[in-house]
Amino acid sequence: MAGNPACERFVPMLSPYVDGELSSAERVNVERHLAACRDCTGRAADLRAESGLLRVGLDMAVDDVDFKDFTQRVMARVTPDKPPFMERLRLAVSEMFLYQRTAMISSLATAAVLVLVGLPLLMSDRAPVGYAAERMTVKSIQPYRNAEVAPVVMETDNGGTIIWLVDEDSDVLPPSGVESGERQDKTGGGQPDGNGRSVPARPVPDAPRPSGGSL
Amino acid sequence: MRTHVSSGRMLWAVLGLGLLLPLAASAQDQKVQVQVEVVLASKKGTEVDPPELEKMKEQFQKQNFSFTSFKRLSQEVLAVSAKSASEVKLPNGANATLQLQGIKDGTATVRVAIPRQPTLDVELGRQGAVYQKAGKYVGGELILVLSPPAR
Repeated sequence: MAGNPACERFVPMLSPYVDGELSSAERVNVERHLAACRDCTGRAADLRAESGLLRVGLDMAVDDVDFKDFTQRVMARVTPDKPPFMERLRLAVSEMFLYQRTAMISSLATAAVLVLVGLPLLMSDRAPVGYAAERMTVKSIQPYRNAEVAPVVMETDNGGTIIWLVDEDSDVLPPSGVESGERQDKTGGGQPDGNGRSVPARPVPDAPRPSGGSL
Repeated sequence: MRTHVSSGRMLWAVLGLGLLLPLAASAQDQKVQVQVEVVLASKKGTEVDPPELEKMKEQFQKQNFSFTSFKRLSQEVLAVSAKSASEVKLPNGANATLQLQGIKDGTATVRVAIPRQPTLDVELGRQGAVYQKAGKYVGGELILVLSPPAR
């Protein structure tokens, strides 16, 4: 090391001076000392030469490297290939359950309750198309052409309607309605004839058609 | 005399027709579901098959019918439309036809026609059933049962 006490103070400042890292006041002091001290001037020159050599060496090393696809390679590492949709979905769901577990579980529970309670209610209240009415109702009955008997309309106690046409093939109904009428008493509005037998009713041309009415 | 129709008006007319025609078509394509059963009622035996027909038997007996046996021969849910009649083949060779007459205030009216039987206009409802005699078959009577489709 230098024998001069002033050099001992300035030698550590030489490298920062060469690299331009000193404040302006320090730089002025160092330059004053260099003007008066030949040893330190030599040291500073050595340091500059060393620095220049290092720069040249680095430049040569950089020249050997191919930076053509540097940006692409860096970006490829930053944003790797897009994973498949299912993989991303699985990842997203697992992250949601990892970081927002409580919110997710409560949301799923609410949705499940809504589905379990709401869906049956919706399904039970929804009548199929055309079934706005409460009950099946026979609105009108048209006897077929040349019919000799009028159909009988009966309402059952559970809201049903029975439409029964007395057979025409037998012109006299059996007393208990066997085979043709099947009904054991009154059939088709038939009237008893002179011999006490029932005969099938004949539709009156202008008479209103029988109707089941509203049930 | 030759009248001039601007291309703009023609375009609007075509667009209007394009919008209205599908609407009209969809109104015509309306369909309602009806459950149609063919039941053979007879006085031979006391078989009731399936057991659900026990209620039907009860209702018929309350109306003084003397049938003792009820057998379901077929059951189907028909999509009945106004465009064309839906047919139900009866075992006696006849065909029952069902055709939608229209839907008013959400209630559909279906016309049921069976050869040599009265033609019915039935207003569909969520409950009840319509039992119509559909002709003779193997010593009994065929009954056409119309009811709302099971949900």
